[in-house]
Amino acid sequence: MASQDCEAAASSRAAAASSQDCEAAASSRAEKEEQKTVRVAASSRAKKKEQKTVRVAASSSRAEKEEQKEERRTVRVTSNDGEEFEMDEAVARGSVMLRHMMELGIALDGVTLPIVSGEILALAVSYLRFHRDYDDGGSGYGYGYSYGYHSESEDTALTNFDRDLVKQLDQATLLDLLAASNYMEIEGLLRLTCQTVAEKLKGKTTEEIRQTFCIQNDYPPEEEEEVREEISWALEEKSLD
Amino acid sequence: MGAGASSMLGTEGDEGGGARRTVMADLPESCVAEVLLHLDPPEICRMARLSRTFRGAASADAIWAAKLPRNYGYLMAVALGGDDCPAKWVLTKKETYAWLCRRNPFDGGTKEFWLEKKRGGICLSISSKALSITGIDDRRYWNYIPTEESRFHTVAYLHQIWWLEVRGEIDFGFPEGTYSLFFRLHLGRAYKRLGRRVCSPEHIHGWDIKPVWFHLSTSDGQQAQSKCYLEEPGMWVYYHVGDFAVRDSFAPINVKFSMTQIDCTHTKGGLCIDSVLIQPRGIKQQKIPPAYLQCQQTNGSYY
Repeated sequence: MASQDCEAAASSRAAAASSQDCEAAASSRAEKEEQKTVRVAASSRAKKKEQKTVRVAASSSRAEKEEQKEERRTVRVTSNDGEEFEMDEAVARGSVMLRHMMELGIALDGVTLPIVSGEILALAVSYLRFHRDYDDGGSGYGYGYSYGYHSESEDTALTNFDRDLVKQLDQATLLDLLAASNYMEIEGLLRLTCQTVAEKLKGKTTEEIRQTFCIQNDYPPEEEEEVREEISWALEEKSLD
Repeated sequence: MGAGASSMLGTEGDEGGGARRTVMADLPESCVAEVLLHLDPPEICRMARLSRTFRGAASADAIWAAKLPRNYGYLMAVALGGDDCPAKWVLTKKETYAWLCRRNPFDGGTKEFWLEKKRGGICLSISSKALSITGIDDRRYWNYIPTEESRFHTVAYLHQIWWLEVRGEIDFGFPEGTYSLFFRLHLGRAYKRLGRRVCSPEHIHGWDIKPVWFHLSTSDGQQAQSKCYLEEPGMWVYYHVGDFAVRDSFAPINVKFSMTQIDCTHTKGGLCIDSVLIQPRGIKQQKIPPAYLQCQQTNGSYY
């Protein structure tokens, strides 16, 4: 009987224990589940962080590479007499012609300009390089960090550079540079050279200009008279007062 | 500007071979136009005489569009008297500029405006007929006399009066800028005798006792006034009233102006009033009287 009791007790104890066990097991299973969830969550957070790090690392290193590549992205421009000029693509963009060539991918092996001499190209390149640092080369395409707004000192530096660039040029070089800046579509340089030529035209008579600039009078006499008539409104000095 | 290049810059071959340099004649018309843009209109027109290329370049719309005042559409409408003349739509920019440079009468011929051709600024003249002159109907004081010395062929002549008060106003769309306003006055009555100009000083009196007061005000609150003793008989003199600024080419402004000498302790007379002139500030004026006083931009009342 006792043994029965014992057995019963034991079995009940066992049962209890087993149920406890069960509970414990259950609870521990739950705990484990929870922990697992926590672990999983933690690990997924860690994973995400890791991925982010990887991504950041990858992108920054890509950016670095790109930057390095950009710094190394230059374009080689050759004059018609074989002089080579290597300049950053960002600088070359000041010439709309070169910009288009680069965009079309036809500047990769360099560009040769069949109608621009080395002497002139050197001047154009120095203009592009100087203006790259201050504005967008006058092209209006917005590269460069000034977007057309300058401090007074920057303005002076630009004006001084421009003035010095053109003041020593003889007439032939000036006109060559004008034609080159038109061909290469460097807006600011075209404006500068045109203004300089205009200064030289001011105050001179028709004959003086013809002589200085070797301009042929290709008018037959009747047409000359016609032109005189056409412009008379601008020339007459009517002063009633 | 297109890249209209011709093979002009250097030839292939050795340097010593004398690469041909650019001359003006090589430049495409677009480049020449770009050069001419930096000259003033009379100079641009003179350049047309150089060669055919220059003639073409000198007519480029791009140049004249830059020279025209911003509100040239309005100005052309005034110049054409509000008629819907189809011609105004086919004028090139250069022809438009030339048209505006003419004397353009409006308001029944009592006013004229014109473009000052060198700088492209608007000038405007208002005839004495468009002014309110106190006592103008009384022939004891005032009458209108014909003269070739006025662009309106008539001036108001004062014999004598106690109360001199002349007022006027103008509504006009001035292009942006600063303008000076003047009264064009003449002491004495001029006429031709035996082909020579003679000035009769018989009625001149009273101008050295007290100065004449000039005043202007605008619809946007600007004011200016000045005072001056009238001087230099026998000469047309521009008396500077003051300046006003126009900030918006597309907003017409109303300007009121006046000239008064109402000190009734003395009479004055022998004065011709031709017109009021408005022109961009800074254009040199002939015959500024030495006693000219700088106008003060005050709101003070005047006597």
